[in-house]
Amino acid sequence: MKLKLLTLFVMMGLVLSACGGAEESKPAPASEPAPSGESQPQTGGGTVTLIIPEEPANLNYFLADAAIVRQVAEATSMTGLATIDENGDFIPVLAEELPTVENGGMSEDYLTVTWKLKPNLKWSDGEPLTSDDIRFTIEVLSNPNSGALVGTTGFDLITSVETPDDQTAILTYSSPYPGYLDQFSYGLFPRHATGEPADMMNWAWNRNPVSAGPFVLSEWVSGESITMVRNPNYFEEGKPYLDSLVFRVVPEPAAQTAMMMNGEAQIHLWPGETPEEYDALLKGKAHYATVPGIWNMAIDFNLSAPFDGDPTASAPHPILGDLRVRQAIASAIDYDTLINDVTSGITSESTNPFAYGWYKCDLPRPFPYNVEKANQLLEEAGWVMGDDGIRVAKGALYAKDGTRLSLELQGYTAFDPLQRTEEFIVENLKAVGIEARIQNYDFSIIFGTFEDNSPRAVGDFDMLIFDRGFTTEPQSYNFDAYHSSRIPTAENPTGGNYFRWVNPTVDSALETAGSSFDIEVRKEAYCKVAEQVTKDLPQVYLYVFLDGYGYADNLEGYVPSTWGSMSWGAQNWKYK
Amino acid sequence: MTAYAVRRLLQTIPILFIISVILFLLVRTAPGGPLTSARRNPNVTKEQIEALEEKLGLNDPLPVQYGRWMGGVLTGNLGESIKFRRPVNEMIAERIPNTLLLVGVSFLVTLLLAIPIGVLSARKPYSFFDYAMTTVTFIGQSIPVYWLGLGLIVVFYITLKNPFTGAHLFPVGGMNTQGKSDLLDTLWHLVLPVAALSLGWIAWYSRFLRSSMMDVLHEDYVRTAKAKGAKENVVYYKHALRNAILPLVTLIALDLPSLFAGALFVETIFAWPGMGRLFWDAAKGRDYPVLLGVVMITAALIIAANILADLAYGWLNPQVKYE
Repeated sequence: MKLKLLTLFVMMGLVLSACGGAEESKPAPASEPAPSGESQPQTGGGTVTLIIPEEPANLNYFLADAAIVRQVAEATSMTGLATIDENGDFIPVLAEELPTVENGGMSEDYLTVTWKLKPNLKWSDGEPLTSDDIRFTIEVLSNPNSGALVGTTGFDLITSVETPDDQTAILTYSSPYPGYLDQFSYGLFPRHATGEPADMMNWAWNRNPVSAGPFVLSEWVSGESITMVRNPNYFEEGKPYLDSLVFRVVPEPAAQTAMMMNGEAQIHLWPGETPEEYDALLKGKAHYATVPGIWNMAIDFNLSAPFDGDPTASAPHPILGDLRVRQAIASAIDYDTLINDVTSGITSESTNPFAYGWYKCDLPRPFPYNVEKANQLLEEAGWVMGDDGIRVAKGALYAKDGTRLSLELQGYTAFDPLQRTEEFIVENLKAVGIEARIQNYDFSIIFGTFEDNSPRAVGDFDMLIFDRGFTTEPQSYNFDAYHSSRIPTAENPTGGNYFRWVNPTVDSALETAGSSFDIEVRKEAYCKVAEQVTKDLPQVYLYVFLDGYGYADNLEGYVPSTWGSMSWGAQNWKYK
Repeated sequence: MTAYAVRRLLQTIPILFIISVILFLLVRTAPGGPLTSARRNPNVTKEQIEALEEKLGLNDPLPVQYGRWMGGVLTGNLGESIKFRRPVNEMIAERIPNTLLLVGVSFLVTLLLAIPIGVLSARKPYSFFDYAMTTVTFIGQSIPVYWLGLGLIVVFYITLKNPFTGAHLFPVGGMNTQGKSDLLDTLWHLVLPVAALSLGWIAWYSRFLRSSMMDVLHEDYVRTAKAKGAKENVVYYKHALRNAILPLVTLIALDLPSLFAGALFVETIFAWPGMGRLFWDAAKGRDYPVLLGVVMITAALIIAANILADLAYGWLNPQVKYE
């Protein structure tokens, strides 16, 4: 709403200045130093200012529970052996090449991986970057007491590290680990400039990292800005092109856009406007770039009876236990309008959990928008139209006659696109005689624990709407979400199969995907899971969010990537 | 009066203790916790979160956690931020000067404008000046501060330009231009936030003083002063204002804690790194030590301001007797 207000204000301002016949004051040319002393872009150098809505807690990706850390840390401390480029492919960074069976970097049994560093690498403080730092990184991330929250998967499988010379690290795994490239794509730790692995949470390095990245921290003004300067020891000759980066913390979306309008900032994380509004407001100065993000929105169904004190899958849900009702709900949703109007500009189509990445599975919707079909399915399932436009049970599979077709739709609060989606879904369902009652909870309740009686964990819900995102290694999340052994109960409180979905095909496909090393086999296995999801409908996928970045037109080399953050590829940026 | 002051101060000890218990419980019973956002991250396993909770001592019984926190508070240590892994004392100390500057200057501007406006309006009620000020203050009171802030940005940052340089008239987004840290630059950055913050206060204080002054002007002693031929200015500023300003003192004293607590809306809109934002970020992220630190100090200051208001009242008005 505030954004609309800004647009209105700006329009008023434009009208006023037009009425006055006043000449639009020329924006100061980029090369001319403004008297105000603002950071001035210069060709082949200069400063880029990046707007972030909140301050990161630190610059250590592995401690990060919030996306904002990566947005900033990627410019400095997240330079690792490999990275994922904008096409989703792995490319070597500090490593000479990616180890594969073909080039001898990996043994035939996949258990030995040899990483070779580029020659003469240095940390930002001038100390040599050696294979011992790879060993140290493994020591830290395999330590269960490090306090690391993300990026630790697979490190416990590494049983030994040999460093025959400063450039070579030979890793031995206890079992083949398909994510062996991904695990080294988020940065290395310098042994000489950090601390004890078990004390990682308290390293001074976290807020002032000695790094191998293109930039290195120079000043951190709490709550206001983080400044980084060029790393003199960066491995790529002649890069980075810029002299410095300034991340400014500006919480108010309208003020962020205003700063982009005045050229005080060049990169803008997650603008609040739609792409059309943004491009119109900032014509000739900046534009909005979107890439598919990783957050995939779906409605989850509870297949087991809610509020029966039994979190297991034993008793079916009186309404949603019938597949035909789930099919009717899937057919009742007007996906095109949802994506093109209701969430215009910020979402794109998604039909299943695997909507992007190497595991992407292109599946059509078996139940596209079709009101007639939805009505017909509900009639067949024994739900007849009641006087108030809501159906009631008459010979339904599980529900007693006279039960109203009324379901609760739970979501989380304070996220506008979700609220708009919920309201739209309610209308869609109403049109076929299903009543959906929106019940939004604070984030912390929806995503709470079994012990906290979070509704999804204990199975006390009908429908749940939220978004989830995968990294390049999706196995642990999907196993947790779909495998029948992961239904949360008092004995198994951390399980993530909130649907209470039992599907033997899915179970075996997930087991295959988790044990195979062949990317094609894994992809096929995940696609099998996706197929079952669209068929058996424990959930209905709606859309994936696009990641939006605003960036100045005079900036060259800015490439937004699904797998990167706002500061990904900062070494390649320069002013035109 | 000294005895009264000492007694009031002693009373604050049990009050603060009770407040600390209530605050601690309130903060801890709010849904969620510092690791809630991690729970939503599909790449964080639940086992990792549990291990971290254990490591941070979040699973200990609440009385144990309260004891640990209170033990620190009594020795002047507010603990360590869960999110930032930094001492809370240090984080608060960093923000205090910024907040003092923003709120202090706004306060000063408010008093410098509100008192003359209030007095002049009361002196010639229903005059053109009074009507004009009534209109302005009415607007000032009605405009929500976030709307005013955005309006100021559009007018003074986007639309109006410096006629000599073509750059914006006043900056937004922080306390300093990048690479500069001189006082002049900071003052330049202070203009819009102070304007946004003081307009409402000016309206509120000047209206208050106006009605208080009009009441006083009908008192016998004012008529007496006029009758004995005192100069008009003496009547207004010496006799009337001194009495009319009494209720305002209470008001000002009660607003003083915001010098510490900050002004969340204005700080957010103008990206001013003050206490309001520190508090809000801590509340959102359930960063218990930071949240409790800020709230406890604010509570203590509110109590102190109340005592101060009572004492100042007696000092300004000898009729008030302390039992």
